[in-house]
Amino acid sequence: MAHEQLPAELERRISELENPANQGEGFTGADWVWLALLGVVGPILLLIWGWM
Amino acid sequence: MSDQVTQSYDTVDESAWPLLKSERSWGQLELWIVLLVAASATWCYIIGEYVGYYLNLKMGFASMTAGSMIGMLLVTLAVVPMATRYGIDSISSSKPQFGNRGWVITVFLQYASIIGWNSLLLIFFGKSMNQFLVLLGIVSEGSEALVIPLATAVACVIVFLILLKGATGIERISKVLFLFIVGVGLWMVYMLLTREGAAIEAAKPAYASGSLLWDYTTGLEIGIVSLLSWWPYIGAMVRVAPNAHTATLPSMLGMGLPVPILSVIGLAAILALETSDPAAWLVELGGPFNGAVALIFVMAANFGTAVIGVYASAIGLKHIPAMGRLSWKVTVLLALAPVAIVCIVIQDWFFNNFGTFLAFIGVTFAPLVAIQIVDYFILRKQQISVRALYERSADSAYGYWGGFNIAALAAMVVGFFVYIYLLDPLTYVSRAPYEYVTASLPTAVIAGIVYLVLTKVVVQPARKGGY
Repeated sequence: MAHEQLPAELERRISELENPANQGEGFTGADWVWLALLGVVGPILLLIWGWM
Repeated sequence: MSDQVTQSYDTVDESAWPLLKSERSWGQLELWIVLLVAASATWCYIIGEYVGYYLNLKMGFASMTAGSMIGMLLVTLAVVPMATRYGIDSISSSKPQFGNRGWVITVFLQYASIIGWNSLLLIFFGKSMNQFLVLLGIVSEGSEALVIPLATAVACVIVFLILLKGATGIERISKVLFLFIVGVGLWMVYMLLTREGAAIEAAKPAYASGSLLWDYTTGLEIGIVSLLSWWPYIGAMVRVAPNAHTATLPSMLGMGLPVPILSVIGLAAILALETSDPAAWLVELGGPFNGAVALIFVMAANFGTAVIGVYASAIGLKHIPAMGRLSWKVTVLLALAPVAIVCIVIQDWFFNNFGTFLAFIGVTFAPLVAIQIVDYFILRKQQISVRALYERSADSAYGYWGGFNIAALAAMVVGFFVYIYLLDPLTYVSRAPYEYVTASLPTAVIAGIVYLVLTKVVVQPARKGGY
């Protein structure tokens, strides 16, 4: 598929970001643990505490 | 610039174009401060006030905090991974799901919600300024009709001048406001709890339903919905971080946790003093000096959030082709003008309809975040086409049908009706099983399932969406 012609600066940015090495990394294992603790486990414990 | 150039910008952080990894320089501390300043504003008092209509301090705090953290988790999962991987904002992150024309729906949601929040903040700013000037003896009681519109107009001008510096301006103003917000906010919580502890303990929530479970779930629901409001804001901030790890804790703790903590001010105040606005009670409770300090806090907190909101809104507007050709200065003006009009012309009407505005947030953003989470993590395995985000042709990966993805549209509509069925957000009349599951969580789950099924059954077989 032919690409649309984009502004030169935008094209430069896209080309660079299409290389996975130039992309930001996703969540790490530790991040997932924090997300689970703060967004799931913590709220459940808070709800139990508040209800008691 | 050549004819091919469709976007004008002064620096890249003022454009909707992706930031390169080398340009994403914010560390956890910078992000933490900016997100905290974005989250800490007068709406916390109103959120606390709404929860205090139904619950006592302990149950209100527990349910509101739990809801806030769940809402923040949903927003974080929806936006942070895409924003930090590709340096894009919330609007760009919605293009893979809604299509290369359908994303205009999310621009509308962002624009409307940020205009609403910013108007509320600057009206509060004007009210606090009026009280402050009365306290200093500069103006007399009854001068609000003149002072409030004037103060909000001046605030709009200052917001505009700060934003001429783009994200740099935001970072600077955030660092200045940080100590105000954290220090004085905690002091207000402490003072309320120590001086009015007995009254808070004895207070009965004004609109308790008679079902403690229903009230508790409603506290949870208000927390979730309030934090879903961060969807339009968060992308423009976290995209300046180099990776998702840098943004995880600042997002959850810097943007999610301050809201319920500061909302305790509104919760305790409505229980003990029957008003959540510190401007109305701190002078009486803490004396003229403390009252003046509190008013400065309210003004500073509102101001910081308004700056960040207008910035996020301006970035969102940059996606619209006609807006992309405008200078950053003109774009900021367009983001700010409706806020100024609301604040100056219809401030009372808007201020008295906050509940309706909050309803709009829950009904629209719960399905939106679910669609994004399902699409990015389950369907796309955490990879999107950054090129397709900026292509507008019909045969682009995100061209779908005329630029619109019917799976996303259908999921939004189904989510809307699920929410309305479970909880009428205007009257708070509910239907089972609301009291066991809230309204926003099932809305998100069902919208996500609808999106997943339609994508598998309709979109992927039609070879649309770049899957």
